[in-house]
Amino acid sequence: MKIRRHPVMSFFAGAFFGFGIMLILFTMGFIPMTVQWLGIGTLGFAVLGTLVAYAIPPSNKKKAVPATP
Amino acid sequence: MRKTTRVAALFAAVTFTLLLPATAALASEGSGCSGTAISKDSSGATLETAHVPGAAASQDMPFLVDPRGTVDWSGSTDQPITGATWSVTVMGVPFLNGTFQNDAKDTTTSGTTDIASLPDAVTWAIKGHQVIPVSGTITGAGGTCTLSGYITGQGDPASSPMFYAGATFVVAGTALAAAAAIGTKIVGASAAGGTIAS
Repeated sequence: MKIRRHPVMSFFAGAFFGFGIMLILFTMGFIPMTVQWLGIGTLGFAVLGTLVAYAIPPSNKKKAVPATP
Repeated sequence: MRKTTRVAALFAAVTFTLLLPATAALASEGSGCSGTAISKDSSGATLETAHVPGAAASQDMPFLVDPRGTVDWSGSTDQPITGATWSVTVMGVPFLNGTFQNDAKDTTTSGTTDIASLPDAVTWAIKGHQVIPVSGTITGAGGTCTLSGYITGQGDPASSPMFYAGATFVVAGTALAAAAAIGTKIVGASAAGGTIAS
């Protein structure tokens, strides 16, 4: 059984998500607005996205029909 | 997926979340000099006065500025600094710099900065509740002066274009994540002739 995963797409998904979250947190004043925080947030979520890409189960797991013995 | 990978992902998520509030300086600071700033709105009314170093302009109580207003400022150094270079850092990024001679060996200076005349990015950045670190340094013959503190803007966070830019990136990231999740599939199981574990 082979599972096709998308770690690169997940990396960019995490990066986009993290970048957006940091901008929102900046505007709300929850964290100081610095490029360091922006980098930490973006890169952190990007790494998290990549890890999640390797952790999530395949979407067609239940649909797959076992091969006939 | 391996159990260790899932545990690693969870560990990374928890660590990252705990790390977020841990590393910021809290107070306005200064060495070798001190300063006072008075912010005014577009009508000329005083918004806030801050003395740095001090309790004002800290991360908890950032110095309020109006993107359409002005800031009257004054500063003094402990001793005359001549042949100096100066720089201002905003958001941790060098923003302005220059040099001056100070042949008269003055230890005080003052001026007024029109916020509205600064680059659009500045006025754009101080709409909302942003807490923006600002620091300035003067280095020359006679010593070094450093001041740092935090400023914040006016208005609701939703008045900031940055808020909508952030929301757009969040939506884009979520859409990409959904595409990646949907695209994660078992392939070639039948071709391999094996069985699929449920």
